[in-house]
Amino acid sequence: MARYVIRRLIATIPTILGVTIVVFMFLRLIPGDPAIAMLGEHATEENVSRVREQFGLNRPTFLDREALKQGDFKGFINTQYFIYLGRLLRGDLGDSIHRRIPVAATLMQRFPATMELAFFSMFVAIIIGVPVGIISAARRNSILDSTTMVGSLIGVSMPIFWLGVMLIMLFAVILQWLPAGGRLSSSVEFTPTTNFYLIDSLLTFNIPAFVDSFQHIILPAIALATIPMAVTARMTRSSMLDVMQEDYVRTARAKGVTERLVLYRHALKNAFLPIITIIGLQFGLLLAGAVLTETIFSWPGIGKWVYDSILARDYPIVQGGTLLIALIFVLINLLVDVSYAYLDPRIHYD
Amino acid sequence: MEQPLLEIKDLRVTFHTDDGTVHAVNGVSYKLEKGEVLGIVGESGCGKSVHALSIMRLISIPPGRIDSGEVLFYGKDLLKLEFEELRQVRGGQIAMVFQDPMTSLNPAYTVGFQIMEALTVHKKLDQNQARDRSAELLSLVGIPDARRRLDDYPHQFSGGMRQRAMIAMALSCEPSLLIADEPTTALDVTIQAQIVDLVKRLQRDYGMAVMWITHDLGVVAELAHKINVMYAGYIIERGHVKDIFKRTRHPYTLGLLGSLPRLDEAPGTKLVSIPGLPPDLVALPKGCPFVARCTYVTDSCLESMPPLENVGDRDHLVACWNWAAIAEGAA
Repeated sequence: MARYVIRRLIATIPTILGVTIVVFMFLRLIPGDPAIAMLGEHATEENVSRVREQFGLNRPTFLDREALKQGDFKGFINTQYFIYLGRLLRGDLGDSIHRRIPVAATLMQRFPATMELAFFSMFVAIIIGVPVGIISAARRNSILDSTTMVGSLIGVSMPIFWLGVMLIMLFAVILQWLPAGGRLSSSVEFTPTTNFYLIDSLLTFNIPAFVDSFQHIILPAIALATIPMAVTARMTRSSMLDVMQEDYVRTARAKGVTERLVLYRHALKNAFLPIITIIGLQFGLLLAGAVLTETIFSWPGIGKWVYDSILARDYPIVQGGTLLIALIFVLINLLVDVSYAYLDPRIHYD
Repeated sequence: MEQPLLEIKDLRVTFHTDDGTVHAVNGVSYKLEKGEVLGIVGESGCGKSVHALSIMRLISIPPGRIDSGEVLFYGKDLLKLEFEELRQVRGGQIAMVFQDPMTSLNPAYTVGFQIMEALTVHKKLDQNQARDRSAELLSLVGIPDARRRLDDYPHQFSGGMRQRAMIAMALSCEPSLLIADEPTTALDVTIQAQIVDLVKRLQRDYGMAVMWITHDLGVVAELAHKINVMYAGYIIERGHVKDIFKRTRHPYTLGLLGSLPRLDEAPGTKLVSIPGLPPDLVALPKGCPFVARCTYVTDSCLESMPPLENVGDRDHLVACWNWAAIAEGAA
C-alpha cells in the first residue's frame, strides 16, 4: 500500500505540470493585459511597457523561437512559463502583480477558509445525501422515495449563484436569522492560529467565536453542498438498489439478520465503492463551485481571491490558486482510491 | 397422526411484471415430515425455487406476491407471522443454501464473520464462543485448517469450499429444515458428489429434514426419500423415490427419466429430449400445462387441469387424466 501511494504521488507530477501549462496558456488567451488592468485604460504607453517589463510580461509565453534561431538555447527557454516553473520548483509562486506581495503567503492565509468551507459542505452533503439515498432505496417507490428523488433532481439542477442569492434574501435579509456574508462578525474577539476558524475556536474554547463562525458558514455551505448532496443521494440510492438484488443480501436475510443490519452492514459496504468515487469527483466540482459561492458570500477564501484576480489579470495569483486546487483534487482522489482497498478486500495495491 | 414439520397448502405466487402477471406457483400443497429428505425436481422456471423462497418469504415483494396459501411450520403459518418472529425462524429453524456459492457470500466480510453472524443472531454466544463454534463448523464441513481460514474472505475460497462454508453457516443453529436450492448446480461434477455426500452425512447426524431442489434426477435418487416433480408451477407427480422411478405415472416425469444419460446404453445413442418448451407462465393454457408437449393428450387434457390424485397404496400422487393408460402401457 505504501508503495502504491508513493507511486501515485509521483504520478501526480505530470498531472500538476499539465495543469500549470493549461492554466498558463488559457490565462494569456483571455483578452486583456495585467499592466492595463493595473494602471487603468488611460495609462501612457510608456508606463504600460514599464510595468510589463517589470513583471516579465514582455517575454514570449512558452518558447522563444527567435532566440533559438540565433542559437541561444538559454534564451530559448528564458520565457514567462519556464521562469515561472523554475521558481515553482524552488517553492516560489511569484508575487501578485497588483499588490506586490508574495502569492504563497496570501494563499496560505486564505487557503484554510476555502478548505473549511469545502470540507464542511462535503460533510453536510455526505451526512445528508448518503442516508437519504439509503432510505429511498429501502423504501423504493414510496412517497418518501419519490419526494426525495424529485428534491434531489431540483438540487442538481439548481444554479449555485441563484441559490446563494435566494438564501441570502430569505435567511439574511427577510428573516435575519443568519449573516449574509463573511466569516466572522467584527464584534467577535478572536485570533485564529491556523485560520480554520471552527477548529481554532473550538480548540481554544472560544465559544462565542465558534458560534459566530458557525453561523457564518451555514448559508454558503448550504449553497455549496446542494449539488453534491443531491448527486450523492441519487448515487447512493441507485448503488444500494443494485446491491440489494445481490445473492448475498438474500443470504443475509435467510440467516435471520435484522433488516437494519442487512441494509447497513451487508448492502452499504458493498454499495459504497461507486458512492465514494462520485464523492471524490464531486469534491472537484465543489472546489470549482467555491469560486462562485465565496464571491456571493464574501467568503475570504482562495475562490473569491482567484475570481478577483482573473478580473484584474493578476496572473501569478490565478496560477497559484488553481495549482493548489488541482493538487487538493488529485490528493482527494488518491484518498478515494486508497479507500477502495479498505471497502473491498478483493482490491489490493502492490 | 403426528404434526408434520412443514405443511404447504395451496401456495400461489405471482410476479407482476411489465409483460403481465407471471404465475410462478399455482396451488402447491404437500407435507414434509421431520427428518425426511424431499427432492423437488423440475426444469428451469417450473417454480421450484420460487416456492422454496416463498416458504421464508424471501422473494422480493414487489414484483413478487404470495397470493394465497398457508405455509405451516410446526403448525404456525409462516406467511402470517410477524416479521420479528419470522426472523427467528429464518436461519434458526429453517436454513437455506443457495445455488451460486460465488455470489451468495458477502465479498466484503470474512467467511468467519459471516458464520459468526448467523450464530450470534440466534444464539447468545460471545465473540470467542462464536469463533470457536464457527471453526468447529468449518472443519465439520471438511475445510482443512479451519481456524485459520475463518479470517479469509470468500474470494480466497474455491467454489466448492464456499458452498461448504454456506452449508456450515446454514447448519450453525441446528435447523430442523435445510432448504438446499440447487446447491451443486454451479459446481463441477466431482465437487457435486462431495457436497451431496456431505449433506447426506450431516442429515443423518443431525436428523434434520432436507428439501433438495434440483433439476438432476440422479442426485435426488441418491439422496431423497420422496420426490415432488414440478411443472409450470404445479406439482404434477409426487411419491416415494421408488414409485417415481419404477412406477412413473406422469408423461412429464417419464420424459425427464428418459432424458437421463445411461451407462448401459450403446455408445452413440442420442439422448431423448422432451419436445417443445414449457408454457408461457404469463398466459397458461386452460387445461393441463404440459398438453403441448405430451404424447398422451386427450380431449379432457385441453379442458381442465387434472387434480393430484392418489394412484398407489402409499402417497403416490399424479396430476394426469391419463395416468391409468400410462400405467397399462408400462405394465
